[in-house]
Amino acid sequence: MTRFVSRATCAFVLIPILATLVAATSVDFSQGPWGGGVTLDWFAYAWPPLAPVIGRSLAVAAIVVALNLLLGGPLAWWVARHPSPLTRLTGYLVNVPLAVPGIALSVALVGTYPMLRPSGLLLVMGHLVFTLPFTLAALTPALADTELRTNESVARSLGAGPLRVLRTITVPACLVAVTQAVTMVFALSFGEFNVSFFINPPATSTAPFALFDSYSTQRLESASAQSAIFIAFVVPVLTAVVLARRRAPRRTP
Amino acid sequence: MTTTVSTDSRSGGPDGAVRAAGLAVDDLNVRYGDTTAVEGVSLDVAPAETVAVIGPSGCGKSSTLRAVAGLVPVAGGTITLAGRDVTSLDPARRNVGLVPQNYAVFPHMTVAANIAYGLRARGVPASERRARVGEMLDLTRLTELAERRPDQLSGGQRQRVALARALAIRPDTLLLDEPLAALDPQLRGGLRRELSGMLAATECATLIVTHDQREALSLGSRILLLRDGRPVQFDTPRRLWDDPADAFVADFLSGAVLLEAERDHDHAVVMDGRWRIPVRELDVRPTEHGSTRLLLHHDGLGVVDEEETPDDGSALVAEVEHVEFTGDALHLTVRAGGHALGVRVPPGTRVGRSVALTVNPGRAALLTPNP
Repeated sequence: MTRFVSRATCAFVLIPILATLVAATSVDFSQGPWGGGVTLDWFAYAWPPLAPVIGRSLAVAAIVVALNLLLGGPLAWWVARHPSPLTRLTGYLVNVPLAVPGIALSVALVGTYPMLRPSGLLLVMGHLVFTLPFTLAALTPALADTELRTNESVARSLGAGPLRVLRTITVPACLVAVTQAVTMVFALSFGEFNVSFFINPPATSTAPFALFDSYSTQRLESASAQSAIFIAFVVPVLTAVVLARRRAPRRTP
Repeated sequence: MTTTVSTDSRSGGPDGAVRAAGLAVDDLNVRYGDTTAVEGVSLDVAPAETVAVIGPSGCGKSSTLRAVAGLVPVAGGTITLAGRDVTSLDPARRNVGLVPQNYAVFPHMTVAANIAYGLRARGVPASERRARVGEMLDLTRLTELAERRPDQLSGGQRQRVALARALAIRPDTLLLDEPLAALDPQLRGGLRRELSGMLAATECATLIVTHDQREALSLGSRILLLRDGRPVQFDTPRRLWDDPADAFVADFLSGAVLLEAERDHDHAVVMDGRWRIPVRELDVRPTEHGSTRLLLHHDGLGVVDEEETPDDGSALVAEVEHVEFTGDALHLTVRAGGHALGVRVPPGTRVGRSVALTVNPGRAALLTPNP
């Protein structure tokens, strides 16, 4: 039963992706799948205008990932290691943006910090606010783990300073959680549409906005080719999650 | 209750000169918020000596150990290690070898890397480090497993890795928190003897925390018994066994019963005169703890048939509350005069709702205060 459900879930996700690929490689999809023959011309047509947009989105996602680690890491540490009403409240507050519609969040940010919009800083802040809960959700349980804390205590008793303990014990133990946080934040930022649509200046759109524009104004085959290229940039990130899980040290019983 | 913490030479403890070289804890207090976990604990461990701290759950034994390791703040008292006051020193600078209950073997490192961890942290040169790791692998018989990961090891092997890692840094004191608790009961006997052998090969002061009486008795050259965060008795296993400070010590350590008694010429009178035991049947010993008392271990009493029950008051009629078959014996829990007593009798013994008990000659002790 479990196997059937997991296979059905995979099929549910994969079929639309395959359909997009079929559309992107069809000469004329209006005649049906691969109508008029198979071609890669749509990719060649779609790539030049998409390349700078992809580059911009990758840069934004990379900055958002870095900021998540810089801010979310210490915040998760504080929440995990100092349980108190204040840390619990912080945990709740960080999650609030998840319950707020993107348009409301965007309008609030644009209204409050209009001066940050032209530089793109507001876009990064919008993505940060939106992704920080996922970083905390991944890192906090890992950092609160009793076994990890015992290992850290032993490492300290053996003569290791705080930085060495962090580098040799804490980070390796949290590697899966960190990888999950990084990939999740990267994927969320890279594919984020709502906040980007409202905050970003139209002249410097991000990839999801470019896709929206393509599907609105161009042929389906071209837009599908752009979608396929977009997906190709997400696949390595998802692969990294799987590899990190496999390489993670198994806990001792 | 009289608190008895004996650390002088009479109890087998080290003198002041030796204390300076080992571990000394004086009047230790540990608090978590408003809760006092440890209060007034004092102990000392000489180099090459093993002291066991024992007590029921929540008695403060692990907090004592963590305070020595520097992992919990000390609210009062001092901790001296090899002559240095380490009370407020960072754990990394105390030079202690800590083996926690779950062994905390670093899961992402090999056995050899685990053992080398403390040496790396201290900047020991690679050649010296390799030699020391080799020594520790030999000592703990892990040489064949040096490149294995912890998830490929048994519980006993992980324990040896943790021990080797702690000993590799040549600690001034070795701290073992429930060293055998994470192992299957069937394995504990053998591993206890193995651990005892490895500890005998070290020169550092070893402090073991355990809730297992057998572990404490067999591994500790002295035992500190705690209750509710306070020390109750600190002495050698033999003296704790033979002369417990109070009924709690007797019960916790061996399940024995300690009854108030009076000496009436040739008899020991117990339970307000209900039981008069001829002194010739008892092992009369001096006690350092208060009044005259009768100490009954499980083998101190026997069941006599009704027709053979003496009528001179030397037999005690008790109500049987529970009978447990333990293979080589029947373990009875009986009640008499408001006291629950444990009695071990041969498996074929007839046991009814009540039994007549007499002391097995020489197996029960009458503890009498020094004049």
